[in-house]
Amino acid sequence: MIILVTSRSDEMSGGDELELCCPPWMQLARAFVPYQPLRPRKMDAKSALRKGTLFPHLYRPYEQAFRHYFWGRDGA
Amino acid sequence: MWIYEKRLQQPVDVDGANPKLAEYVITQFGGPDGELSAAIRYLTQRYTMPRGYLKALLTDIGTEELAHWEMIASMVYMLTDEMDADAWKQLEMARKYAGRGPAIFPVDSEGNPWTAAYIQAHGRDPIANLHEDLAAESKARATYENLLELSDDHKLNKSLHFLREREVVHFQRFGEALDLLKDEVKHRTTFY
Amino acid sequence: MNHDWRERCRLLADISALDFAALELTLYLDTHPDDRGALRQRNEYLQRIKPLVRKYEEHYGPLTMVSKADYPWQWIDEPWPWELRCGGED
Repeated sequence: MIILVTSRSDEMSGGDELELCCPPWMQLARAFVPYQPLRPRKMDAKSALRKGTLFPHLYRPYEQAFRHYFWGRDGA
Repeated sequence: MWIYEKRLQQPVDVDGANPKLAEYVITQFGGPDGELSAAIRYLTQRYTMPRGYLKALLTDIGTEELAHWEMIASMVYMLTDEMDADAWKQLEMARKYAGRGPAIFPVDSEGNPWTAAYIQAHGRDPIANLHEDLAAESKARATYENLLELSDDHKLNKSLHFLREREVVHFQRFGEALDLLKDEVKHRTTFY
Repeated sequence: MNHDWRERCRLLADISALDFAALELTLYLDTHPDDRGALRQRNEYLQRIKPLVRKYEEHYGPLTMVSKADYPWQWIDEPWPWELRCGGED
C-alpha cells in the first residue's frame, strides 16, 4: 500500500493553483460584482426619475425574453 | 432619526380600480421579498456592521426602501379606491373585505402576515449579511417581473418598472460594498 | 380641485427628479467616497431643489414636519401622497 503525503501549505495559503484560476481581483468561493468605475456617465434628472437610475450603465430594462429562455412561452 | 417628506419618491397612478391586481401588488408591501422586508433588513443589519461606508449604505438604502413601501401602499390604495361593500361583494375576494375592510395591511398575496422570519442579520459576519442583501435585491427584482407579467395597467407598470430598476441599482451597490470589504481583508488567509 | 393638481404635480415632478438624482449620487458616493465630481454634482442638485421646495411649500404647505408652516396648522392638510394622482411618469 502506498500512502501519498502531500504538503497542505498550498491549500492553506491559496498558492499557485488559485492564481491560475482567476484574475487577481477574483477568488474561488467568493461572489464578485464589478465595481462601477469612477466618473461614470450620467443622464439628466428627469430621465433618471423615469428610468429608475441616473447611470446609463446601470439601466437594465425588463425584457420578458430572459425567463422564457429557460421555460419558453405558452408552456413550451 | 427619520424625517418624512410628504411626497412619493416617484408619482404613482393607476389606469383604474383593479382589486385583483391589488392583491398581487400587496406582496411587495408585506411579502418576503417586498419593500418592508428590505427596509427592516437593512436598517437592522446596519447596527452591527463594521466600517462607516457599510453603515451609511445600509441606512441610505433602507430608508429608500421605506419610500418604496409607501409607493406600494399608494398603488394598492388607488387600485381599490372608491370601492364600497357592494363592489367587493361581486368579487371572490370579499373575504378580504370581511376581516379588515379595505385596509392596506402588510401581508403577502395569499394573506400571510409579514414576519421577521423573512429577514436575517448576522452580528459578526458582514459578508454573510451582504450576500443576504444581494439575494434580497434579486428576489425583489424577480417579484417585480412577476407583477409586470400579471399587470395590464399601463400607469401602474411605470412604477413597477421604476421599482424593479431600483433593485438592480441596489444590487450593484451591495456588490461594491462586498468588493470593498474583500479588498480590505485580502491579505488574510482565513476563509470567510 | 383637479386643475390645481396639474400645477402641483408638475412642481412635484421637478422636485422629485432633482431629489432622485441627488439620492442616486448619494448611494454612489457611499461606495465611491473619493469621487469629487459626484459630490459636487450631488450638492448642486440639492441647491437647485431649494427654490422649488420653497415655491411648493408657499402654495401647498409644508413638505416636512420641520418645515415652516402657516396658521391654521398646515401639516395636516390633504391630500396626502397616496391620494394625489399625478398621472404617473411619462
